[in-house]
Amino acid sequence: MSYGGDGKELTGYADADGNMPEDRHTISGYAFLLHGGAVSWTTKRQEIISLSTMESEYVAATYTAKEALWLRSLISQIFDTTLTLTMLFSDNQSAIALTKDHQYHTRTKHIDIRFHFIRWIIENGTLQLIYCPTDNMVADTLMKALPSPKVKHFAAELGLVSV
Amino acid sequence: MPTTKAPEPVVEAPDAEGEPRNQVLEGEGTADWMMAADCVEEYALAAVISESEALEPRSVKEAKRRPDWPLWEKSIEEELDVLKAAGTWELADAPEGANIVGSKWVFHAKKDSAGNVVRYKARLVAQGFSQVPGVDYFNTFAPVAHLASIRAVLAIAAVEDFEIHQIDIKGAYLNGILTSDEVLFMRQPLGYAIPGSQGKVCRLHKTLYGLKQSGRRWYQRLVEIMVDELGFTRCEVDQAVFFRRCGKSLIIVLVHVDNCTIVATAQSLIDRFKIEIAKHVGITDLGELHWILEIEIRCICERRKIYLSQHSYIKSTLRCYGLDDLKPVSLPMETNIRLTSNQSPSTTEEFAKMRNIPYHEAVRSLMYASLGTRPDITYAVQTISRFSKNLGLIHWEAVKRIFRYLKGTKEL
Repeated sequence: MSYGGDGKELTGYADADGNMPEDRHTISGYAFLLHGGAVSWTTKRQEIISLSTMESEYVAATYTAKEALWLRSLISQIFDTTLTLTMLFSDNQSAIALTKDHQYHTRTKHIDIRFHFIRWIIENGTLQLIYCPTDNMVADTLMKALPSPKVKHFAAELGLVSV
Repeated sequence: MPTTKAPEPVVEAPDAEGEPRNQVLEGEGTADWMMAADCVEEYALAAVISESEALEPRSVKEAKRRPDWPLWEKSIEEELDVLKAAGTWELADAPEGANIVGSKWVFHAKKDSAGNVVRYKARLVAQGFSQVPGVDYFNTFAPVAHLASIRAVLAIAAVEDFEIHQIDIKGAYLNGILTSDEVLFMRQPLGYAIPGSQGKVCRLHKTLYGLKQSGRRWYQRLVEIMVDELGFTRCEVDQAVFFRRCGKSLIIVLVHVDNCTIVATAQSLIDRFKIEIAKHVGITDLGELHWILEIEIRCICERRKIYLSQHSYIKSTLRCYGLDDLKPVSLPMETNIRLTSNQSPSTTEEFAKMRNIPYHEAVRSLMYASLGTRPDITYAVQTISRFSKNLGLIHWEAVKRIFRYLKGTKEL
């Protein structure tokens, strides 16, 4: 794992896999990159059963937002800096749209209010949820077994390079 | 580490079929796969034993019989002097019915990197297992720095070109102070009772290694030292991170029990901090940071880069499970195999096959690699850990595959 070199700000990647056939729970996860290396990452089975990919991605984004807030307060407190807007990437356009308005009411009315936490955070101006194509989604490697070129690519993206 | 527990269903399944469990297992004992599984366990045992135990006596009685007894005796006296100087206990009569915690000597021979013994060490430990919850101890938790905080601080330190040093606190747990609620009595050290005080016991004032609350009391003492005495601020979101800012200068201390990683804007701040903290606790100065929690750290200051690697941890883990001759692969998980609990054993024969496989231990070792520096295996480890209750051969193959992947990529 390497850090340094091209000085980049904290960025987060949130992703969720489709439902597992076994119990219909979704695997979701996030990775945070800071100065070219991953500082925080996790893979977790979501405790809820979601009805659409959009919902799983939305829930994953909320989990990621929580970690982003923690990392932001850690860094800003220790180093006494005011951090700029933290970018979170998601590879699901509908989930991003859902953070902005209530367009798809019939398909989203069941989503628990607590997952709408991310809306408030985005309105606040601390985070920004941005679309990122699946090919560039580094958190994808935390979600599924990928073929060899992708594993290598994402490992390098996460800062895993030999000295 | 090498003790393996059979998953619970192993016990239940033979009963369901009305067969005694032992017979089934004996019958299967000669099959090839059993041999392989047994070997793994033996390798693991051998690795652990040869490293340490052969050299060190396990009790005072054993130490006394050995030719190197004078050296051990000296180390015991040193430890008693340390405890006395710290005011760890005073002799007292135990009240009627009080719980008396046992004590034991633990010996350790410290070796240098070439394997020569450099120091004989004896430590008096309390037998905390005999403490009564709610009477002898209450809460036992103590925070340590999150790995994410450590990584984030190191990443920023590398880019900003900060100095990174490390110290160890000597006998950290001996610094913890017991509260007035905790009236603890301990048996006098074996073979070293003060003459004429045979009926008396040690009324503890400070913590010892082995007590349930030692970790927590040490942490509380550390907070006192850092915040009240040295003027540090405790980070609100990670309570084992302390920092002190003065104008542009900044010093950060990340604490993991007795291991302090110090990050500062200038070398002079670190030197000053080391002198300050040494006034309160004994420290070992380890100089620049090279090693933290099994993670090797390499700083390349000119390029403002820092590398974290667990390659020696991975290497020793592979050796521990006897898997170091496996062929490396480029994928941590096969893409076309879906692991489900349907593949868990269902027949007695299958249960017996899985009996001696150190699955939990292996998953635990992989988990630490995945948490430390290897996000690329996180998904695979998460998947296999779901089957630790009831594993099948295919799950064990998946574990071995992660090890093979790590073997091929351990330099990352």
